[in-house]
Amino acid sequence: MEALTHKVWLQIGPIVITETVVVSVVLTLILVVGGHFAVRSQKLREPLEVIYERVEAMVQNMVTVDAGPLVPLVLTQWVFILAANLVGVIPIIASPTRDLALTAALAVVALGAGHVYGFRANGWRYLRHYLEPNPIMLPFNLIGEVTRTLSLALRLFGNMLSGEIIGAIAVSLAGLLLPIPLMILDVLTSVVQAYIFGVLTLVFTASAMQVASSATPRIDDVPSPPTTSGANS
Amino acid sequence: MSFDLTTFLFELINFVLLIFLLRRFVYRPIAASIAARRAEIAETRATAAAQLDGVNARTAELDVRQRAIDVLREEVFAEASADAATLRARLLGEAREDAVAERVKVQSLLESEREAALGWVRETAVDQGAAVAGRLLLALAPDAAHDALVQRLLQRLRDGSVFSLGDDLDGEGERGDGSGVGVGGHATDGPGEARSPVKAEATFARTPTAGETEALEQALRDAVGGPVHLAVAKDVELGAGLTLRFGDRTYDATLAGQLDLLRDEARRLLAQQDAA
Repeated sequence: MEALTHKVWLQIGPIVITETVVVSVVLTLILVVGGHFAVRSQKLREPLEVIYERVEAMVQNMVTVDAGPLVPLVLTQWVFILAANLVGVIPIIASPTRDLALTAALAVVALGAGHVYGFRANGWRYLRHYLEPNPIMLPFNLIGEVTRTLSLALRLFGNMLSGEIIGAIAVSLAGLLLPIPLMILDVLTSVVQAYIFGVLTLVFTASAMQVASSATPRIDDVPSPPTTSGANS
Repeated sequence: MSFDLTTFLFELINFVLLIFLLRRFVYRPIAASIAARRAEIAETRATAAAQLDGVNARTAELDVRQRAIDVLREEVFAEASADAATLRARLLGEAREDAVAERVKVQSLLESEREAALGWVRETAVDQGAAVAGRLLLALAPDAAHDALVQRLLQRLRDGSVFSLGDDLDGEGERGDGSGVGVGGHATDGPGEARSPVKAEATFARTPTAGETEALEQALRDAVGGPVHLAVAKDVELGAGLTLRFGDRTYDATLAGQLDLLRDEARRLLAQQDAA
C-alpha cells in the first residue's frame, strides 16, 4: 500500500513538503529551463515553433472562439501532466499525478481559467449562464461546476493511481518482467489522460467564453473541427 | 489516499507559476517568432500580390498591344496582298507581251525556215528533175541526143548565127565577155596579109568520130572564112554534145548545158508562180 501514501520530504510545523511537491517543482524547473534553452537553441527553436503552430491549429479547430489565449494554458497542461505521468516510469520516483492534491490543483486552475476567460470575453453577462435556461436551474448549474471540476481531478488521479497499483500488484505477484507490458500500457494511459485533461479544460474554458447566448456548456457542445485549418489565417 | 491541503496549495502555486514562466520564456518568444514569420509571409504575399497585379496590368497592356499589332499585321498583309496582286498582274502582262513577241519571232523564224526548206525542196526538185531527165534521155537515146546537139551546133555555125549575135544560140549557151573575137574581127584583117589559123577548142562528151571532127572544122572554116586550128578533147561529164571554145568565148551545146537551161527556166517559172 506504499503507492497510496506520499513520502514526506520536509515538515516545518504545519507545512509538509511531500514527494509530490518536490517532483512537481523539479519538473517545473526542468520544463522552464529546458524550454528556455530550447527556444534559444537554433536547432530546437524551429521544431518548437512547428509544434506550437500545430497545437495552436488543433486547439483552434476544437473551438469556435479565438483560441489564441488558451493555447499556453492547454499546452502547459499537456506538457506538465504528460511529464508528471511519465516520470512514474522511473522506479524510484512516484508519479505526482497519483496525488489527488495535484490533480485537484490542476482542476481548480482549469476551473479558474474558465471563469477568468469567461469574464474577459463576456463581462458580468458571464454570470447569466448560471440562470440558463431557467433561473431554477441555478443550483444544478453550480453543482455542475463543482462536479465537473471534481471529475477532472478524480479522473486523472484515479487512472494514474490505478495504473501504479496494478503495476505494484503485478510486480509483487509475478516478478520484474511481467510489469513491462503494463508499463507500456501505463505510458499510453499517461499520454491519453494528459490529452483528455487538456481537451476538457479547453472545452470548458471555450464554452465559458461563449456562454452569453447559450445554456450551460456540456462536453457535447464541442464543435466539429472545421474542414480547413484556420491556423494561418 | 489522502488530500493534503498544503500540497494542494503548493501545486496550485507551482502550476500557475509554471504557466507564467513558460508563457514568459517559451511561448511568447515562439509566438513572437511565429507572428514575425507570418507577418513576413503576409508581406511577401502582399508583395507577390502587388507584383501579380503589376503583371496582370502589364499582361493587359501587352494584350492591347498584341491586338493593335494584330490589326496592323492585317493591314500590312492586306496592303502587301494588294501590292502583290498588282505586281503579279504587271508581271503577267509583261510575260504575255514577251510571249507574244517571242511567238511572233518564232513564227517569223519558222516562216523563214519553212521558206528556206521549201526553196531547198524546189531547188532539189529542179536539180534532181533535171538530172533525172538527163539520165533518162541518155538512157533512152544516148546517140540521138548527142547527135542532135552536135548537128544543131554545126547548123548554127553554118548559118552564122553563132558569131553574128554573140549571144546564146537558141539553147546553146555562150559564155564569155561577149566582145571577144568575132567573125568580123577575123574577117577584116588587112588585105594581102596571110591569115593565121584561128584556134578553137572542142570538148566532146564522148570520143568524136572523124566525121564529126571534120564537119566541125569545116563549119568553123566556113564561119570565119579562114583556116582553123581545132583542138579536140573529151569530157564524159558533159553527158552528150560538146562545148566549143573559140577565142574568149565558149559555146555550150552539151546535155549538161541544156539541163542548166532547163533548171533556169524551171526556177523562173516557179518565181513567176510565187509572185502570182
